[in-house]
Formats: sequence, C-alpha cells, structure tokens
Amino acid sequence: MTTCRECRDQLSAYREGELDDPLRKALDAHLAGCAECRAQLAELEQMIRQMKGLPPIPVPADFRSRVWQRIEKESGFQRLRRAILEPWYLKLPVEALATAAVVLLVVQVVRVTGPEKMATAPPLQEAYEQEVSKMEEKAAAKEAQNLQEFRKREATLKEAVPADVMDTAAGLAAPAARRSQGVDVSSMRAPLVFRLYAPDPDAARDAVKVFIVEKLKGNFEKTENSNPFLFQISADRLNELRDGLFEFGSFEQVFESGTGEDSVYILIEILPERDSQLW
Amino acid sequence: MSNPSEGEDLLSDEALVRRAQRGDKTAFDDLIRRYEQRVITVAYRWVGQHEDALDLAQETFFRAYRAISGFRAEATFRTWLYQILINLARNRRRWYARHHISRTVSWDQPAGEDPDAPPLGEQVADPAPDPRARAEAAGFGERVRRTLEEIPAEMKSVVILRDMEERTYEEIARILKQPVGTVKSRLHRGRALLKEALETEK
Repeated sequence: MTTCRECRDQLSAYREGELDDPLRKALDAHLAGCAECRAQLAELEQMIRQMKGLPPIPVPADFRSRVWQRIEKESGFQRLRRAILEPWYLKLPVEALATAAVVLLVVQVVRVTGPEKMATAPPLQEAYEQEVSKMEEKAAAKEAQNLQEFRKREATLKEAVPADVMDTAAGLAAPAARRSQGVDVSSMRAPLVFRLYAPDPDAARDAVKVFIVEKLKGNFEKTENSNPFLFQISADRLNELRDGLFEFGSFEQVFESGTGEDSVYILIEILPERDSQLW
Repeated sequence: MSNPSEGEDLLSDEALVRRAQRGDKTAFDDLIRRYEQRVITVAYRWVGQHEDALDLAQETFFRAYRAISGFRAEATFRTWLYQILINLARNRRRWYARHHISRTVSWDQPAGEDPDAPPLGEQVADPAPDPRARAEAAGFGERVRRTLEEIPAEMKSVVILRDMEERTYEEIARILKQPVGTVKSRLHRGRALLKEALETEK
C-alpha cells in the first residue's frame, strides 16, 4: 500500500521512468485511485516544462571585451608575480610520495612575539612599491632567469627546512601512505598545515602565491635575512593569512604546530575539490 | 546555443582549445563566443542577479583562460567550463565577500526606480513568439529565481543543468564528478524541494 507521501517522493523518478517494476506498478495503482497525487504529477510536469522553457539570458555586447580586460589586467600581475615571487616559493619535490594532484607550498615564517616588534621594523611599503615598478618593467626578461634560480633554490630546500619537518610534510601530503604507515607526527616538529580544496588546483596554487606575497610583502626584505625562505610575521598576520585562504576553496586547518620555537613552518596543501569531504 | 549567424564556426572545440593553448587569443575569443550565452545563463540561474551573473561568467572565462594550458582532453571543453562555473558559483559567497558586494536588479524585476517599468529581461531579451507564454515564463522565472536560492547547492546544480540546460545525466555526472545514480537522486530531491518551495512562495 503506497501512501500519498511515498508517492510524491517518487514522482520525479516515476516521471523519468527510473523506478523498478514493483515500485512503478505500486505507483500506477496509487495514482489511478488518487486524484490529489495525479494533480501533483501534473504540477511537476508543468514545473519541468516551465523550467525548460525559460529564455536564455541575453549576452551584453561588451561581454567578451570585459573578459579580455580581466585577462589583460591579470597578465601584467602574473608577470610581476613570477618576477618577484617564484624564487621564494617552493614546490616541494614530494609529488612522488604524494598523490599526483597534490601541490605543496612551504614558507618558513619567523614568529615574532608581538606588534611592538613589528613596529620597529623599517617602513618598507614605499620601497616595495618602487621595487615593484622596476621589476614590472624587467619582468618578461627575467622570467627565464628566475625559473633557473627557482630550480636552484628548490634544490637547497632540504637545507632550508629541517628534515623532520620535511618528513612530516611528506607524510601529510600522502593521505594513503599516512593511513597505512600511521606517520606519528607527535614526535616531529609538525608544520602548520592548511588543506585547501580548490576547483582548479593549478590556478589555486598561483592565486595562493599571489595572495601570500600580498600578505607578506611588508616583511619580505630583511637585510639580515640570508635565508630566502624566512619571513618575519606577526601572529596577527598569520591569522589574516589563514582567514584569506577561505577565498580559494573549501578549507580546513589540519592541525596546529605544537612547536614552541621561534619559527613556524606553514604548509599549504592544495587538493582537487573532488576529494573534499564537504562536497 | 550557437549563434546561427556564425557560419565560420568550422573548427571543433578541441581544435580551438589546442590553438588557445599555443597562445592564440583569437581561438580563445571564439571559445568565449561559443559559450558566453550558456555560461551567463547558468550563472544567472544560480545567482539570480544580473551583474553578479556577469561577474561570475567573466570570472569563469578568466579562470579557463588562465588554466587552459593545463587543460587535458579528459573532459570536453564545455564540461570543463561548467565545472569551473559551478565551483565558482558554489564558492561565490566567500568570493564576493572578499571582492565586492553588489545587490543588483533581477532580469525579472522592474528595471530602475519605476516599479511599473517592464522587467529588464523583457526590455532586452528576444521576445518569445507567444506573449502569453512570455508573460508566464517571466512570472515563473521570477518565482523560480527566488526559490532556487533556498535549494542546497548540490541539488540546485543538478536541477539547473538537467531541467534548465537540458544536459544529459552522463554529462552532469562528469561535470559534478559524481556517479549518475547520485545525479539522479539529487535531481529528484531537488525537484521535490523546488516544487515545495514554489508552492510555499506563492
């Protein structure tokens, strides 16, 4: 015996001919004797027909030129980004350990104790702006050179980031391996891990780089800083950085580094969105 | 929704994509031309607002352009474009929160200050052949625009793609990276929710 409620739950599948035989026959029988449910079916039909009949939205005459404007605007910025950013960023050579789609960025951040220390840092904004305009001009020519430089620095990564942190990062980046081997992060200095599920991981990686340099730009030029992977950053900045990552996709903070040291390693793992639990 | 006036559309999407990957902007421009109406329409179905829909569509093509060199022919260009669009749409609240907030007019609401003015959509859309059908579509369009907002994203995407865009189950499954069975059950659930919401909304 089919109730009206059961019948209505199945109407759409019934209408599509997707019910198996016994269920379809039960609905046939119910509909034959229930005018109310027949009316519901007719309403459903009408709704579907009306949805199919919705007119397409007209395209503004300048739509394509708007898209191109957006693209051109970004292109200058992308060149700039490559000129100033690539040397600092590390695509860790852990893809072999991780799933193919995983992308990693590691930034080592020097944790400063509070805003008063930040305040003693020289005002770098102006210098930065000047530097940026100079670099923008040379950006295209520098691209190839920077790529080489980037590769060299990539090779020195293992010196810049302590081995136990690297191991932890590699373990985190390989969920399958982590599950099977049970990487024990409690005994290691774990990086601060953000996991980002993005529709387009490659694009997200670029966007995250741009975003991070925006967040760190006031901190990037430390004369005493011989390590290109070190940034001074306040706790507030760190929080801003984290909050900003929400923009790029579904996001979770996997776990917090328990280290009491003066530096913290940030690892941003970018995964294709289909792996997200949130979908 | 290819434009019938474009008799020169001889190249396949695949050929245009390959050219675009080699940096041929004309080829990408052709791809935009081919899909702009689809993308704008789906964006509008999703966000229900004209300017936001155009922003979303613009962002979709921008992301596609930026990522096209990495595009592998595992999916068709169209499927891929829908994927980008749906993912942006699903994340758009966060995206808009960062970039700008814009509350703008609907195609189906009166344009401008004058409450008696015809809806914007009627001012610019191609007139439907039958005025009564057109009026009905406008009224329904406005109601469905409001009620779709209440439908959870995973069902909303299926209802839009299946019932408004008339994509096949298989293509929707590829776009959403979900099994066909999941797509079907989301469609049925989504329709039921929408129907219920439309009734409450009346």
